[in-house]
Parts: sequence; structure tokens; C-alpha cells
Amino acid sequence: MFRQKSKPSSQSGKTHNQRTIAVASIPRTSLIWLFTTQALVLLPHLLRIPYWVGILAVVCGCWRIMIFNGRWSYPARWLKALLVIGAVTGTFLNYGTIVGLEAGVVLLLCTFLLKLLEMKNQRDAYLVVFLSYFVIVTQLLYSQAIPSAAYTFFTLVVITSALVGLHQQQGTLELKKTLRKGAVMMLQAVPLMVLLFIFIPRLGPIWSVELPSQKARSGVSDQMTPGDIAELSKSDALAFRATFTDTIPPQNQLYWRGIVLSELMGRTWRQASRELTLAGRTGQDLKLSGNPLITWRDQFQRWPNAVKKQGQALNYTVILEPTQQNWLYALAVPQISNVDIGVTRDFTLIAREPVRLRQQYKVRSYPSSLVDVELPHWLRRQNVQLSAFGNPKTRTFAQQLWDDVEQKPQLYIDRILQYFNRQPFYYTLKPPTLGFNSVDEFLFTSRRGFCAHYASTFVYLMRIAGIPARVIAGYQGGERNTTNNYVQVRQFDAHAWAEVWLEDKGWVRVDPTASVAPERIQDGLEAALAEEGSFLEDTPLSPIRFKHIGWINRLRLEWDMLEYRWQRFVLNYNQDQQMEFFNQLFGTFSWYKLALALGGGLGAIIIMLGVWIIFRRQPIKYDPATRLYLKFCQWGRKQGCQRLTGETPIHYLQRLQQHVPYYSAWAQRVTDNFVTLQYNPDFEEGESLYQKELVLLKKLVRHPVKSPR
Amino acid sequence: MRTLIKNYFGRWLDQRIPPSTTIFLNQKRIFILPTRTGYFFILIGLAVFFAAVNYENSMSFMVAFFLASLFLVCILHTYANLAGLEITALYASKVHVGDDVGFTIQLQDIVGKPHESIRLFWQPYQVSTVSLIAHEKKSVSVFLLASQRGYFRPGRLCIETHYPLGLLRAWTWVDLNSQALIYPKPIACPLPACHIASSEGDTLAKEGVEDFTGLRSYQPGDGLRHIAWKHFWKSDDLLTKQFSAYTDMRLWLDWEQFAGASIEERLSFLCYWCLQCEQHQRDYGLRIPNITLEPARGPQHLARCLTALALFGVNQPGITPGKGTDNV
Repeated sequence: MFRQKSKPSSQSGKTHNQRTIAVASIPRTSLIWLFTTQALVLLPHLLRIPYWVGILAVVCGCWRIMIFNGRWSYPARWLKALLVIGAVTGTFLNYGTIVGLEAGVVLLLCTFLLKLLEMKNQRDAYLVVFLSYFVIVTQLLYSQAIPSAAYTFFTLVVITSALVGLHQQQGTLELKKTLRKGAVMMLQAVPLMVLLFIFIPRLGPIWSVELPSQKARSGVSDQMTPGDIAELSKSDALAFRATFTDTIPPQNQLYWRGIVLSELMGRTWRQASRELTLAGRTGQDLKLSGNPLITWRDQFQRWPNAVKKQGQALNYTVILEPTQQNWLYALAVPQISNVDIGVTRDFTLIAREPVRLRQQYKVRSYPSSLVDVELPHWLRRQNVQLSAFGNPKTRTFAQQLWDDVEQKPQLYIDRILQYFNRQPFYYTLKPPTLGFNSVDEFLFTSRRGFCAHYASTFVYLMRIAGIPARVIAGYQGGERNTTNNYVQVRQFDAHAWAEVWLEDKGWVRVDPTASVAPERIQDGLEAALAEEGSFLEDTPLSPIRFKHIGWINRLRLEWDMLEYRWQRFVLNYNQDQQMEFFNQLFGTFSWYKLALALGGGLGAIIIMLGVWIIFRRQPIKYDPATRLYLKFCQWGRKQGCQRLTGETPIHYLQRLQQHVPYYSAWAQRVTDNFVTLQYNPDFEEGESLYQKELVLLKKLVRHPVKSPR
Repeated sequence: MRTLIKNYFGRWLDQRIPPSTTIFLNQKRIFILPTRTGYFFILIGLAVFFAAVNYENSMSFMVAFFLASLFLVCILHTYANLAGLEITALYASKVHVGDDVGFTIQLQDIVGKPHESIRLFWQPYQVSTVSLIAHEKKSVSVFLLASQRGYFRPGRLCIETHYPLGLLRAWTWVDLNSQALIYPKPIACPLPACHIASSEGDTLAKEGVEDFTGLRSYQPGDGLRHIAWKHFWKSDDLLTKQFSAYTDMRLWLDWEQFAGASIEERLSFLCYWCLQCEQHQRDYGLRIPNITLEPARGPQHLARCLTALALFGVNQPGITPGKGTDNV
């Protein structure tokens, strides 16, 4: 008996016959959706791709709008051919190829844009939508960070909505409704997606592919000229995270060794064996004049006399950001059981392939072990090598010192460190440029330098005295997160220090920077540069600069942790992680159990979704007058007089008046008002007369009035 | 072989969804399969999956699994979009052979869910689309080319939906027992010259005053002038003299007028002339074998005539009256 809420007139009762369905044209709503989709999908690519693709996007978009308005027509075939040839040529000019990943992505984007000019029917629209899915994936190859992932999922909602829009009845322009449907479907798909993500067995790559190349290699490079590391220190980008199973060692013990530089060529320090970089590719045990330089098996077996295991072991997992380099970072004397990671004779870690993707590895380190107590001859020769020319002042200075301490290495070291400490040496990110006799200049004139200056000068001084010494490049320290037991190491934690070989002790770490700026080792770079104010000078908005503001720092730490978890549990969820998880979950892994878990989970979720989607009912929506009247009926029920199903308002009024005579007049007015609104043809919903009457009814229903009989 | 399969399928369908005027769409009656777009979507999902495998890219795995999940969710939504509708055949329009006959069908949501873009058709090139909000009741006409005179049964109505994503098609074939009465196709022709019926046999008398035609027993109200007084003197029977006036100017549309034409042609010619007369506001009568309709005019008369023409030589419809949905 009540009239249901009337629908917008544009939709109600509209049916239409389509004589042809073979080429259903694209309605306006869909076009809006497709435009939005394309814009969203293209946006993150824009920074990376050549600028002309952006221009192409604008041109195609405008052209399409003109086509839609009926002002321009679809481009002629020759023009389309020209555009395609132009796009291919442009790509070739930009990348020198049209087959690589980057060139491929640009071509894909061009196809995607040019399709706009060809999009005539629904099938073309589908193609655009499906291409969008692909373009999204290419974006993910470049960045998988949380913001990027969030953006991707937002885009997926829009794409899904675009598909919904394509299937809505033509002529309905309800963007909000369409978006809601898309979002609901997306949200319903998420639990299934998570289940599949966890349980679908991962495979290794089936064929080798080109990975997106980074603009520049990051991290410590394979050679070092004093000043290099200062460059690195300007970046607050993450280098790696290390999670310890037990407690984190003290800050001044966190020397993350990357590469060992023992060869000095002019001013530049290099790895003794350049082939080490390529070792991964040859895959074999590299040898230098008969001495193996690398092993892919347990190094304690390979070089049984080199390391004397001592003290407690440290267990930790490192998640390394892509560096495009082969070497990995670890604390001293690492042991590893990973077929793809080898150990060099200098006891650093090396990966078979340059680290192009974020890599996770587990290490066990023995920091207090003795290394090379008996130094092989070839290694000694390598680490005392020095050119006979240059830096005459330094040579005299060193010779004199060496004689002063009666050629006792330990004393010699102490004296040099004292020298650094007592003379006015400065630790700075902005060292002056040095000339030909750089060590002379640094030691006696400028006395301003960064860790690389101190380390290389120190090793130089050692070698003049004939003491085996070498420069180690890597990272020092890092930001500790004690609640989650991990250390976060950033590019500005890059560091260089020295290792000196001493009788009976083997290789001993000496950090000359600690003598100049002890706060660098204790509290990190920021503290060491506090006076100079040059810490992260070029990135004024870096959140690390606002460490002192409590809430910003907390926010930053929370975000770091979120990112860390994201990386550890989502992005690094690969074959090994998955197996580990299965073993944890099932006790022992078996395919049968996996199938059961996957099938059971899928079934359960689908049933729940099915119940929700298929059996959920929407309540009847009444028009506003009826809603008010039902409120009135509710009041009546409270008075003990319930309206029966199908009872007319007039009849109910009569019963009610008998039941509560005091309210008789009021009930009469309410009923009259309602009946007028509902049945009088002069009162059309939405018109001012109706609205006035409705307001009156609202007031009436809200305040029952008692009147004397 | 093909017809064999078709027949078998038809029998199977008759068992599964027996003909009925009102049909409620539930899982027993709804079929669901991916569309071509759906298969393409699966292909895209697989491509994304292999890209993810090769690039070892976790987020791409997510996208691939998202596409798979979306497909599964879409199955439920597509089904839910069609299920819970009650389909009732209301009536059919009456048209001539060669025109589109419109069957009016009522859709009602029973389960409190909106139903978007429901497509109804008998032939895939004549689709009616309708959308309902929750608890709504709506009527829609679905058209079909009327190919045959008499009671026209359109067969099974296809009700389908691709909403929301177009990846799947949920559909059903329902037989709503509908039938429409299809009139012959009107074909213009000259009316044979003899059509003004003036011969004795074609005349129907009506009481008049010109010619004496006979006597009948007196009934109260007969004029005194017409009483056969002479006869009364002779036999004591009170009789009334009857006179008749010829109605020769009225039109008779006769089967025999179109001798030489085939049955369907004759029906078409007669149909044409019925419509012409009606248009020009002239009385006309119809005479076809076994049926004679008195000259008259007006929509009811026209309907009677056209129905007679439509059903000429047609056996009784296969369904019992009252159960059928059309109005004869």
C-alpha cells in the first residue's frame, strides 16, 4: 500500500531496443571512466618516460574529446600509420632499441594511448582496460614500495569501476554508484587474493628477463678515491636492514664490511683482484697465482688455517636494497649457507649476480675470531704494495716515527692515531681538493677530510713502514630499533676504515676516524657533523633531519617499521620464505596438505562471500512521507495499539482514536496530512507544496499533542 | 545429428525449466559461463602471473592473484544480479505477420537486491534492457518478428546479464507459455467489382416498408396498419404483414470474391479490406468458410474479423484456455 521511493526519472522504466549488438558503441559514462583509468595508469610512468609520450597523451586525449563531441573525425589510416611509425622511431631514438624492457614499456604506453583514437566499440574499450592491467604491472617492476602499492590498488579500483561502467545500462550517469560497485568487488576480492598470494606455490623464473636498470649503482663502489664516500653520505636512502636474532651488538662494533681494497693505484684504492667482480659469472673458484680467492662452499673447510673461530656467534638476516653490485655486507668473519653467495679470501660476501632486486640473506658472524694469524706470502705482498714515488714529506715523517717507536707496530699505530687526535684535524663532508702529493697535503696542510681520507692516509703510513694494511669500505653503525631488534643502515652510514695485520693477532680493525671524530662511531654521522651543519644539506625535507622533533621522529620510525615489515613479509615472500612458512604451518610439508589448505581456504571464503553477495537483502526504501507515518505507527504501537498489516490509515486512525482518545485530534491531523501527501495528485514529490506539507508532518510526528476532549 | 542434439537439449531444458507463466530465477534455472571477454581476461591474468614469476616481483603476483580473485567474485555478482527475479508473462500485442510482436513481461525483485542491465530477448538482435532497484516491479516489452499467422508461440525467452564486469554471462531460457495472436499480413488489392452484394442470396432483410415479404404472428406493439385484417376475418389469427428494405449498400467481404488466389493471399486481401473499411468508417461484413460475421464497424468488430482471419484453418492452440497468457 505504500509507494516505494521513486527512482530518478532518467532510469525508471526506461527500456530500449537495440537492433544491433555487434558493434555496441561506447557510452559517455564509459568514456569518462576510460579517460580516468588511462590518466591514473600513465601518471606514475611520466617521470621516467621520454617527454614526448606525455605530449602524445595530451594530443590523443584532446582528439578523443573532439571525436566525442562530433567536431573531428577518427584519424585517417595513413595518419594512424604515421603516428605508429613516429612512436616506434621516437622510442628507438630514446633507447637505441625497441625490444628492451624500458623501450617495451614505452611502446606499450604508446599503443595504449593511440588506441584512444581507434576506440569505436565496446571491444576496443575492453582492450584499453586490459592493457591498463599490464601497464600497471610494468610500473610495479620499478617500484614496489608501500605508496606505490597503495596507488596501484587505487588504480585497480578505478579500472574495475570502468569495467562496471561499460556494463551499466546506457544513459545512467551515476559515477558514485559505479565506483562503489567497483570498490566493493575489489574489497571482496582482497581476502581471496591474500590466500592465493600465500598458498599458490612459487616457481623460479622460467626464462631470464631483463630487469629494470637503476639510474646509478648505489652503495660502496669497487674503487675508492678519497672524497667518494662523502658523496654517498649526502643520501638518506636505505642501504639495508639487518635483523638480529639476539641482541644487537654495541654501535661501535657494527662495522659492515663490503669490499676490501688493498691495491693503491695513484690516489685510488682498488680491490686486489679485479676479477672478483666477475667471479659470480664465472661461477668457479677463482684463483690468483694458484691461490683460491673465492669459495662457494663453507670457507672454514676451504681455508682451515685462515680463521680461528672464537667467541660468540651473531645471527642476523640482512635485507639489502638493490645495488647493482656483486658484494654484500656483513659483520666480520661471516659464515653463510646459501648457494648463490660466496665468501672471498678477504672474508667478505659476494653474490653470483649483481643485486638487481632487493635481496635477503642470513648470516652467522664470529666477530672475535682471529683471521690470518699466519699471513700467506702472497697476501702479505699484496698488502704492503706501495709505489716508490710521491708524497716525500709523508715518507720522511713516517720513517722518523717508525724509528722512534723502535719499529714496534702497535706503538707505531698508537702514535699515528695520537697524531690524528692531537693535531687540528677536522672531520668534514666538504674537504678541499687535493693536488698531486695528496697525502702530504692532507697530513700537513689541509687536515680536513672524511673517513676515506683518514683510512687511506693511515694505510699509506702503515705500508711505508712495511706493515700489511688495507682499506675496508662498507657501512658503520645504523639506526637501531631495539623493540624489533633490527638495525637500519642508510647510505650516509657509508664508511671506510683500515685493517692492519699484527703478529699473533692477525688482521685487526683500526678506525682512524674514531680518533678524529669519535662521535661518528658512537652516535653516527649527524652528531659528527653537528657543528658544520652539512648533514643531509641537499635534502632539506628529509625526515631524518627532523629527528629532534619528537612526533615526526616517532612517525618516521613507525613508517620505517611498516616499510620493513612490508619488505620482509610481503615483497620478500619468495620460494624459500614460502617453504619456510609451509614447514612452520604444516609441521612437515606435503603437497596434499597444501592442496587441502588452499582448497579449504578458497571454499570457505567463497561460501562466505556468496552468502553475503547472494543472500543479503536490502530493506525497502520508503518515500519520506511513509517513513514519517511509520514512525507515527510506532508511536501507536507503544501506546498499545499496533497497526495491522494491510490496514488503511483511516481505519487505523479510528482504532487509535478509540484507544487513546486524548490524542485524537493530533492523530487525525497526522493521518490527514499523510493521506494528502500520499494520495492527492496535486502533491507531487519534490515540489514545493509537497515539501511544505512534509515539513509540517515532520513537526507533527515529532511532537504528539494531547488535547482535551 | 544437429537436430538430434537440439531436440535432446530441448527435452532436457523442458524438464529442468518446465513452461510456466511465472518463473522464479534460482540456481536451478540459471546457467553461468565466461564470455569471450572473460576468457581474454583469464589470459591477461596468466600473462601477468608469468611476468611476476619471471621478474620475481611480489606486487605483480598480487595483481595476478587479484585478477583471479576478481574473476571468482564476479561469478557471484553476475549470478546474484540475475537470481531472485520473478518473471511473469503479462500479455502480447496483436500484430500482423511481418511486424514485430511485443510480449510484455513483468520482472519483480523478490529478494531485496538491485538488478542491473538485465537483457531479455528472443532473437539476439532485438534486445530489451531493464534495470531494477531492490523490491521493484517493472514491465518490459520484448519484441520479435511475427513470422506466422495464428497462434504464435515465440519459444524460450532468453534472459541474460553481463553485469557487473562482462567477464561472465548468466542466463536462463524460460518458456513463459506466452503466445500471441498474429493477423494475416494485409496485402493491397483492388476489390472485385461485384463486391456490393445485391443478389438475392447475398441480401439480408431488415424490417422495412417497401416490399411485402410475408406474414407472421402478431406481437404486441406491431402497428395497426400492418395487421393483416383480411386474414383475421378469415381465420381469427391475428397476423402482421411484413415488409423488408434491402441493405444492398452495405459491404460484404467474401472469401469467394478472390477466387483464384491462394488461401493465404485471400486472407491477406480480406485483412487489407477490413482495415480499409475500418479506416473509412464504413460497415462491412465478413464471410469466410464456416464463419460469417454481420456487417458492422468499430474496433471490436475489426478484432473479431481479424481474429477469424488469423485463425482460419488453424487448429486449437496447444494450451488450455485460461492458462495462456494472451487474450484471444
